[in-house]
Parts: sequence; C-alpha cells; structure tokens
Amino acid sequence: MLLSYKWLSEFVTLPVSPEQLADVLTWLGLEVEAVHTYAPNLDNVVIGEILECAPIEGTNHLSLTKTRVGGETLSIVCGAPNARAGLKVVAMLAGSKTAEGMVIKKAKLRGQESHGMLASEQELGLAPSHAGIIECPADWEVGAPAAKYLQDSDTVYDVEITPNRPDFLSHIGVARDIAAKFKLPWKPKSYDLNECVRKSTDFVRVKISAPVACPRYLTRGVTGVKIAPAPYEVQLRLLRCGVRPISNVVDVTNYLMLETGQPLHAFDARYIADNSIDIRFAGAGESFVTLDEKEHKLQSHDLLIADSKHGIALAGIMGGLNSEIREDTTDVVIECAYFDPVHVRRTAKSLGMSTDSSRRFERGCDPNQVPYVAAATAALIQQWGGGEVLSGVVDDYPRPIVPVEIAFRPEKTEALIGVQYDFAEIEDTLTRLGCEVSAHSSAWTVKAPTHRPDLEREVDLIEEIVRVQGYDQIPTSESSKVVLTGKDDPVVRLRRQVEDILVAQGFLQTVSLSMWNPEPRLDPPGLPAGVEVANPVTDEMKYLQGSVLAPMLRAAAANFERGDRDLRLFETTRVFREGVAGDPRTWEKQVVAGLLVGRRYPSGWSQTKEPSDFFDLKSVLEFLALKLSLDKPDIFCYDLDTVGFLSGQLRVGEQVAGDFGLWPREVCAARDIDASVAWFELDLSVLAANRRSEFAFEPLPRFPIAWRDLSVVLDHSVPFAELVSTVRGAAGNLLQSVWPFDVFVSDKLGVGKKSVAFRLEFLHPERSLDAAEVDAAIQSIVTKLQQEHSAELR
Amino acid sequence: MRDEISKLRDEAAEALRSASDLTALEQVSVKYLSRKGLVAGLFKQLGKVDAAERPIIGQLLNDLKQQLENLEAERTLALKPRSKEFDVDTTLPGRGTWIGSYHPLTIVMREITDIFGRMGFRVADGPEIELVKYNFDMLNTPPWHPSRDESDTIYLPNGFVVRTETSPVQVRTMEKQDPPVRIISPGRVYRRDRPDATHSPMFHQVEGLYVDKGVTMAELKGTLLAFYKELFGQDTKLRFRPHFFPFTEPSAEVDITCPFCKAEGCRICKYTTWLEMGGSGMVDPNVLQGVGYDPEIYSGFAFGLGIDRIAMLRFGIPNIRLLFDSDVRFLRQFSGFTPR
Repeated sequence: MLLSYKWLSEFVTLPVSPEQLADVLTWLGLEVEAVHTYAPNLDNVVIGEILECAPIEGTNHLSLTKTRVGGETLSIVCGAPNARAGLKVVAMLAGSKTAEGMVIKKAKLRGQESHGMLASEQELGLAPSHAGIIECPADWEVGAPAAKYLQDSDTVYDVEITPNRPDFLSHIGVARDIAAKFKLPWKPKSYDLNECVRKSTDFVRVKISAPVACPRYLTRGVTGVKIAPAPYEVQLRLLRCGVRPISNVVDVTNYLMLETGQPLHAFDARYIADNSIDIRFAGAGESFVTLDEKEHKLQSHDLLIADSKHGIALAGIMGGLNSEIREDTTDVVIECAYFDPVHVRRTAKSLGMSTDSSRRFERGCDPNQVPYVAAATAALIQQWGGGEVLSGVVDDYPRPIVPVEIAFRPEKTEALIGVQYDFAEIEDTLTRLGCEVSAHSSAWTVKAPTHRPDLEREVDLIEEIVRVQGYDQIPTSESSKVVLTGKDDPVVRLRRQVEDILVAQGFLQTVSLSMWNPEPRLDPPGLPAGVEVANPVTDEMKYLQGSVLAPMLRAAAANFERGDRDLRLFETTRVFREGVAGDPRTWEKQVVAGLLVGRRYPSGWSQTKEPSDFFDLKSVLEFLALKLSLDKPDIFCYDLDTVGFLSGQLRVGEQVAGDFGLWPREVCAARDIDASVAWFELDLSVLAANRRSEFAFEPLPRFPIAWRDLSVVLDHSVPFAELVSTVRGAAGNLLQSVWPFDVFVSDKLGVGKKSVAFRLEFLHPERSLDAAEVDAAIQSIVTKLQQEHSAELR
Repeated sequence: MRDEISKLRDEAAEALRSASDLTALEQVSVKYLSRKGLVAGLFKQLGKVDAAERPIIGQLLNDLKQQLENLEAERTLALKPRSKEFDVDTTLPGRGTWIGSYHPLTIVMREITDIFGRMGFRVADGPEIELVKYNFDMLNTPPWHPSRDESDTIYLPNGFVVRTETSPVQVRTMEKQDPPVRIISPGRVYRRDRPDATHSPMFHQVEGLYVDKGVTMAELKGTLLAFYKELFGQDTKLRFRPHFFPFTEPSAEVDITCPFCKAEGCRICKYTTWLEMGGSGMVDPNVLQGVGYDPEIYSGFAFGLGIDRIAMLRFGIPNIRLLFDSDVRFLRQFSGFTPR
C-alpha cells in the first residue's frame, strides 16, 4: 500500500515532518518498506505545445518535434510514443535538471539539433512513470513556467499491511490511527452532491439472489457525463500511489478506493441489458471475460454481477470487458457494495486473481460506509466529468451488519501487559479509534466500528490500547518465579551427546537439506527414497529423505572433487517413511548418520598412510556404544556371502538401532569416488531407550592379574568370535578377558590359513593364582582349540 | 652480610654457568655447595648476626642455597650426554589427530538453548511432518491465511504438512501438560522458498513459550532482553514493534540494537542501528482455549527467532547455502568451537 503524506494530512493535521511520519507509521504497526520523496525541480521548465512531430529516419522510436514554448519554437527530439502534434507538453529547456541529476543541454541526436527535452513525470521527479511524456490539459498556458501547474511535492510511504487491518488499505483508516495516537481532531471530508429530479430507482433495478455472498449492493446513476482525463493533480496523486490514470470516471473509483478503502465499479449503463442487475452465482462452466480481456470458466461458487442476459462483473474482483467505461460513455451506473470476504477470497484464489478490489473485500470492507462513498463517487464524477447525478440510491441491504459489542474489563489491560493504564486514557483511545464505549461500571461495553472487523474480543481491544499508546510504554520486567517443568526431551539430550562424541572422534558435523530426489544408478543401492511430497519446491526435492546416507555420499563426492579425500562426516537429522495414517509422529525417526573414507590417520609427517576400513568403522561404533552407555550393545555383522558387502546391524536390548557397512569401490565409483566408504545410520530414539541408567563401581582386584599370550594358526574361515567362545568355554571362570593383538593371513602358514595372536588375562578374586593353575587353563584351551578348529600353536 | 650473599650469588652462578663439562661443574659445586664450601661458610657466620636481623639473613641464605642447587642440577642435565630420543627437530608439528567440528548452527543453537536453559526453559521436541491441526488450526491461523497456501507450504499427498514453524511443538506440549509450561522448541522448519543467498526451503528456528498465572507482556520483554543481552552483549537494547501474528494478541516484532556496529549504523543493520530478530506476543486466548487452558486463569507469552540468520550474522557467512552444502573447507573453520 502506498500512502501519501499530503493525502493523509487532508484528514488530520500531521504533527510531524514527512521524515518523522515513517517512524510513526512503524509504531502504529505499518511496516514502512520504502519512502519516496517527490520534489520536482522546475527551473527552466515550461509548458509547450508540439506543432509538428515527424519520425526521424533510421531510428525506431525517435521523433523530431517543433515545439512552441512561448515566443519561440524549438526543435526537440523526443523518444516518447505519445508525442504528437497538437499535444501540450512540459518542455525542459537547456539548463534544467532531471530528477536523476542530468543537466539538459543543447545536443545533436542522430544528426538533429535538440534544444531541450519533453518531460515525463519520472524525469521531473513528479511520479514514477515511464508511460510517456506528460500530456498537459488543454487549458494550460503555453510558455508559462511549469511551476505554475506542477509545483506539487509529496512524500509517499510504501507500507506492508498486516492481513488483520483492512482499514489500513485506505488513507482514511491510517489517518484515523494517527489522529488517535496524537489525540488530534478529525477533519471530516464532505463532497457536495447536486442531485437532479430523476431518480436512481428509475434508472436501474437491483436484485440480490445471493444475499449471503452479497449482504449489501448499492447503485447510483450519473447521466450525461463527458469522458475525459481527470484533473492533472488527481492523475499525479494516483500515479504516486501506484495506480495508472485512465479516465475521469475510472479515476474517481480508484481515487475513492485509495481514500476510503471501498472498492467501486462503474458500468456503462448502455451495456446493462434491461437496466436490471442481478447478483447471482455463476452457472457451472459459465464463461466470463474480465476487463483485462481474460476469459474465465466460472464455477457455481463464483459470484457474478449480471444483467438480464449475462455477467457484467466478477463480484468484488474485476469488471467485465462488455460493460466497461469507454470514450463515448455518457451514462454511468456506480456500484458500491459489500461482498462477503470468504466468497471473494474463494473466487479470487480459484481464478488466481488478486486485484486492488479483491484484496480489500477479502480482508473485510466497511458495509456501513457504502452510502457515503457512493455519494462521493457521484459528486466527483460530476465535478470532473459533468452530467447529472440522479437522486437517491438503489440500496439493497436486507440484513444490516451492526457493530460487535464487546464486554471489556479495563483492568485486564494491566493484567496482561504488566503496567498500569489510566482508565480515562483507555476510554479516550478506544473512542478515537471509532469505538462506542459505555464505561458506566467496571464491566464496560465497547461497540467496535464496522470498519474494524478485526476487533471482536477483549484482548483485541487491549492490543489497540497498547498499540496506540505505544509499545515503548511496555516495561521490561524479569520474572523471579522458579519454574521447574521437567527435563529436556531425552532424544534431544542424547543427540547432544552423540554430537559431542563424534566431534571428539574427529568427525565434521554437516547439516543438509532433508529433501532429495533419488538417482538410482548413481546412489548406493538399497536406500529408501522416503516420503514423496505433494508440491515439491523443485524437482530435486521430491522426497523427504528416507535415509540421509545417499545425500551424504553426494556431499562426500563434491568434497572429493575439490580434493578433500579424507572425510569423516556426520549429521543428526530425521529420516521419513510412511507410518500410521493420522499420526505423523510415526512417519519419521531421528537418526545420526556418518561417513568415513580416506586415510585412517590424518596426513602428517609420521603417520602411516593406509586407508581406513570396516574396522575403523567398528571402533567408532564401539566407542559410541560405550560412551552412550548402551545396554548390551551388539555390533552384529552379516555373513558377507549372503549380503554381498561388509555390513551389519547395531542391536541394543531387543531392538535394532540401525545399520552400518562399507560400500565397495564399485558402488562409490558411480559418484567418482575411487575408494570404499564406510557408513552408519542409527535411530536416536532406540539408542535413547536403551541406555543403562545405573552404574556401580567394581572394587579393584586385590590380587595380581596373570596373563599369557597365545598364537595359533588355523583356517581363515574360523571367525574370531568363535575362537573366543571356544577359549571361554575351555578356560573356566578364572579367565577375565581375551583380546586379539595380531591377526594376519599368509601363504607361508599354509593355503587358506591365518595366524591369530591373543592375550588372555586370568584373575582369582580371593587369592593369587599360581603359575600351574594358569598353565593348566592354557593347556585345556590349546587342546580345545585343536579339537574344534584344528588350530595349531605357532 | 647482605652484600656478601649477593656477591657470592653472582660469583657462584657465573661459575656454574661457565663450567664447560661435568668435571669442571663438579669442581665448582665442591667450591661453593659442599659441606665445607663457601655457602656453608656463610651459614656459619649467621651466629654473629644481630638477633633481630638473623631470621631475615637466614632466609636469604636458604634462598641462595636453593637457587645455586637448582642451577647446578640444570647444568648437570645440560652437560650430560643426551639420549637419542631427544635428538629431534622440535619445530615439526605434532603427529596430528582427526579434528572434528560442530556445525555453526549447532554452535549457535546450543548457545541459545543454554541461555534459555539457565532461565528455566526446557527443550521440547516434536515431529517435522505435522497435522494441519497442529501446524495451523490450533495456532489460530485463519482458514484463509496465505501461509496455508500450497505455494508457501509443503504438503504430503495425504494432507499432512511439513511443519512451517516449530510452534506445533508448543501445542503438543500444552495438550500433554498442565501449566506452568516453560519450553523452547528448536528445530528444522520448511517453507516453499526457492533457494537463493538468503532463502532456503529448510531452515532453523527456536520458539519459546511460557504459560502460567499472571504472565505479562512486560515479562516477555524482560525475558527477551535478558536473552539477547546474554547472546549479543550486555549493552544490547530491545524494542517491540506492533505487528500481527495469528498465534498471539497483542503481537510484536522484536528488534535489537545492532551488535556489530554497537548501534552506530553499519551495512549489516542497513544503517538503521536495529536488527529485526523475530516475532513475539501474548498467546491468543483461542490457542489457550484450544488446548483446554482457561484464558481467564492463565496467560502466556510466545516468541520465535531464526537460527540460520543469527549464525550467518555471528560468523559473517554471506550465503545461507554454505550452511547446507557440507563443504569441509567451510565446516573445518569451526573446529575451534566447543559449545556447551
């Protein structure tokens, strides 16, 4: 919405400068996005008249004009499409200055002398317009300084209007709030109406067939109008407020809409068949052409203004091409109505139209302002276009809309805001905003004006009081109450710890868009696409991710390409899959996912250079499981022959927390990664649900540990885990722990053989072990290993 | 006596320093520090000192002895043949270890949740796929509000909505729990914005809610001021601007003084000296009623702020896409942060 300082000051004497008003508007809740200042510099600018106008050969838009500027006639080259002989223009003579600061000089353009410039509003700094040069009214005196007609400065504010304030879509509405804020008197505006004998009721008949969608429809007639441009100062004001001037009659409707917020329409009475208007719903599939020459197929919920034959306007949105004001229009039917917001919104939305009119009706106009605005319209049409105003109105308003009565307890303002408000001030503020206040007892009754459909409840009035009296009056108080309302969400807490653990393990945390589109031949196999959305932002965001691993691999690939080939990445995010209908909580899970590729140790002057592998991944998982105190974690690996690549499941308690694995080079090669990539993705809720909450210290051993190393050669196919269970079975309960310290495969050991060396630790809780006992245990272990796995001591 | 001590200190120290091998050092030690050495000689004269002066001189002698012994030990280490273990180029860097890093959004998010945590706000969480009921209806969003449009909001074919703010968490929390409720809900939110330098279809918010008996807008202002002071410095000032949000009435936009130019005007605040931080207001009675709280008994405030923008301002990140690109050259720059 563009608001003019001058226009506002017609309703209230503004107590602040144009610069200061921007702040005032902000503090009233109107966000000022831009301020435009129009202050024309009219030195050496005069009114002229084009005597001759001929296109210049070899150019596609330039004309050479002979323009009379008082006593002399100048050659002036002009590029405007509307330059023509007979037109009165504004001529910038040598020495004048454009709004952009360019000084006009005599110049040669395309071989033609040009002694000045014919000006548009834009060049003079009058208004933002590129439509062409100014077309001056015929009665402007040639040779007169332009300042005589155009010395018109103003400041215009581009403000954002919140959807609850339809009244702010008008100068009256904004001026009212300014007046209330500064407690200034209101300057009412009145338009003199000279009605003739003939009555509007004899001119047009109205029937409302859809009274819910159209609670009020008022028309007036004006006959014998001469269509012409509106007065120049009106055109200028419209231009500055973002509306293109068209003709006096159309400009009246736009002018009063910007002034009062009431959308208006003017019909050419010739094209209203049988002089009868019916406000009815469209027939399904009925076709209608709006005045922007677009054809619409209507639905039965679309409201039409129709004559006895067909539609003539799309109610509250746009007039019809068939009945618009033309150059030869003489008799005008003015429509001033109140359409129901819901209906206008529905039609505007389904037709994809948003007009100055629909935006106002959608938010809610004032139904009781209608007669005043209609009269003003008739008066201005007569003032700018002559003719006779028919007497009276045709006003169909079967069920008048009355002000809402709100029970109001003034002390509630202090209770909600936290500072005392004077009751008399409260009453004054509400009254200035147009409310009728009955403040007889502690329970007031406040009638909200119909131009403020947003005021419905006590709290809405409180907001008004605080807003008008100033948000800067709200004090700053800190609560000293103690509110213990429980602990952070357990998954949130776990997520923080997971982040800490993985960062400590050298992982970089990523945050990536959780929407993607799978690329089946490029992404690793077996990952779920996720949940398809109905209206993706772009094609690349068709799904809410089913797993974050493929997007992470893409990110890894981008880093690879840039030369970063040692990556440890992790992300805590959500993954999505179809769940229970009606319960979106079952459609997603929170996960932590990680990727591991490149060297095992960071490159340095003394680190070995071997690549990381599956067992580096396992250590990360083991570390995570330990640090999160997972209850009985099991890092379970699948049989390679069944699955095809190294992978497994992290199990905790009875639940599966997630998967991990190693994508072989062939898989990663699709993304131009020439390495295998280790990955994991774990469900944070499962981890959070399976943490040991209790911990008890174990007394330190009172007796020394006895240890032995064993090294055996056995079949490559025997898993270490089986070896351990054999060892444990054979060792008896003195065995405390067993872990491998060397594993290697070599043909020197025999084909298909490997060597496994491991350390065994023995402990008796109540006494020292003697060597013989330990040796006996070792002996039985060795025997058992030989029996079960044909393992030979090395 | 003092002069003698001082003189002996200089002399002995010089002798110890200039001893060029262990044998020479041994000789110096014998001369000064042995039982019959010069230091011991001075100790013997202590008896002749004035009784009043004696403790002070005694202390000086002890210090002298200790200093020389330390110096002797140092010199012994220096003159001993060195083990090969120490024969290294000490200017080489450490062997290195993998260095992880927190994402800048995590750094900022944790700082924010920490501050609110100290003010008694608990972290609540909720789903990113939501019911229209929680994302719009119960937040008092009118049926016609443009935020519901398919051009603004991402929907699933079954009518679920991908949450556009984290306030559905507040409704879910209030449904489950009686007042007092004092929570913040950080998380990802989604809008149908095409990605560019300042927009992303996914971004991050923290929203806060406090409902209890007698909660006022002055308290909201105080809480937010305390928060922003903690986040941006104690000289931060805050102002409320009237606005409209369906969820709150009255509603306010929150501006803080620009922490980058100390409110003197800079490119970041576009020379306005203020930065817009987010919306806030008193929870609309319709919302309270919707979750079964009696608005005649309870009132509450709510607020929200965007994390991505704060992170970008904080670290001078010019383009929001850098946050979501997983470029390790970007991520590694944050390895110096260890948030709480």
